[in-house]
Amino acid sequence: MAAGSADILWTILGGLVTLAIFSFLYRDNPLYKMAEHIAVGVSVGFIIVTYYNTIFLPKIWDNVLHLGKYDYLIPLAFGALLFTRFTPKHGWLSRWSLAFLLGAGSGLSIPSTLEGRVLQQAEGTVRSLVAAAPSAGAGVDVGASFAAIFLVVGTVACLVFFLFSVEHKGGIGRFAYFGRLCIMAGFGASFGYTVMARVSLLIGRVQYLTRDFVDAISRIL
Amino acid sequence: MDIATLLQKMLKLDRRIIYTLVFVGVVLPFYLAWPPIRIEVSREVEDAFRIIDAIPPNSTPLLLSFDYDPASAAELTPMAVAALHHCFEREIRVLVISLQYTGLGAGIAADVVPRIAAEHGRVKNVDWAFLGFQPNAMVAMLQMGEDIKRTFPVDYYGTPVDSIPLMESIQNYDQIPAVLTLASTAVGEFWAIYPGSRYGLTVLGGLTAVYVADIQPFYQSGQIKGILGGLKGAAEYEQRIGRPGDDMNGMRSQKVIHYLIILFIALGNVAYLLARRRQA
Repeated sequence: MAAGSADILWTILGGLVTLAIFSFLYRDNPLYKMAEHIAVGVSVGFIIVTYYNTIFLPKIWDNVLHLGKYDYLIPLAFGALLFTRFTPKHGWLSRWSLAFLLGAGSGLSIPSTLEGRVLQQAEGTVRSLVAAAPSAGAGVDVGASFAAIFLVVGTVACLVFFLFSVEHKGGIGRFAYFGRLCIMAGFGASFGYTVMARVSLLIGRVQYLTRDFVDAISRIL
Repeated sequence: MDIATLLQKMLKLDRRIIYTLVFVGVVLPFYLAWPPIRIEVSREVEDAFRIIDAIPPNSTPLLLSFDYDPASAAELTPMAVAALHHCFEREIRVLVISLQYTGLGAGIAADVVPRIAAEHGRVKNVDWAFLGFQPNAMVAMLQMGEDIKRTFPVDYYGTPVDSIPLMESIQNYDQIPAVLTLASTAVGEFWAIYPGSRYGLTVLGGLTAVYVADIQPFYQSGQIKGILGGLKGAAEYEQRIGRPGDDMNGMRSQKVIHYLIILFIALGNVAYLLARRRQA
């Protein structure tokens, strides 16, 4: 079969599976179930093949059998031990692998996480409150300065909102309320971005259906 | 029927009517080229553009990491395409990897990168190379800081990395001017925390819109130098490189749907408040 014909068939198949998935919006049905299972099966199949070709073959097979690097059998054994979880009798062996993963993972991540997620983030919050204008000698950038001050005040207000050792009354209460507004604004921004993301996915599928799928159908008719 | 009764009925509106309206709202702008839309390039996108644009031609490569799966392709593939067009037009070399844990990102990269490279006549392994996929993003990122060739001994196509001309002068992040991670998960944040903090790598994020609000603090702190956020970010980048594409039409649909959702939220709240007042 020519590549062009194969492309057309794959495009039509993709369109039909998309429509089957969309059919769930009306109600659950066998077509949707079938498409769902196809998606899961194809994904898992792709993952297995990718891991086999890009991890197992170059890192284990070639190193052990072709290069004689037998120390690579140690991580292989640790990996194999994870599968003992499928048998209740030997499941405890998988804890060795998990212990190694947790220990090594923590050791590797804690210093960088502390640096990147705590120290640099704290530093970013307390940078100069007065921002200079982009062009030299133009004085103060009012907008950027306001944003910097708002960032600091808003951060502190959010922290105060979660401060439960002091009763939220009077000035503290009003400041905590401002923190609550900041948190709600954050949730609102997240919701807006989420809507944009989900609509983007729908746009991608609609583009596929109205252009690629329709074009493929028209070529075989 | 008075307005109050109408709003009451809205509270019991069949969700399939809303789905239909959303679908129509997405499709119509593609055919009508309406509503009018003006894309203004944001500071985050401008920063990302300038950093990539400043990479010297035929020199050290931009590291482009496909850290997403097909579920996010609608948002992130346009960014990948726009960034690749930008690089290849300016003869900037590109080193492609994928650290998305399922490996599905590698499949997307294998489809997208050779196609765009061919459009510009860029040569595989000289102007661009695809090193493939590694699981456990954090470990791979840290190992690349020491030795990229040891992290990726062979490329995606099975070629030993030692024999790839593009890799001759590349040892670790010291020879990488910037990384653009196209991420739908925490991998985007990992780039800022691990290679960014520990090795001083310049990190740019092409992120799904869901993820932008989470990653914004990293931009404000300077840990991420530029952000392309969702379909809007992709459209802005296309605008900036002078290649407006499908994302412009996509943004028309976004505009319609956002107005529609705001309208539904407002009407739903009014109806809810009226219902509560009646009950009182």
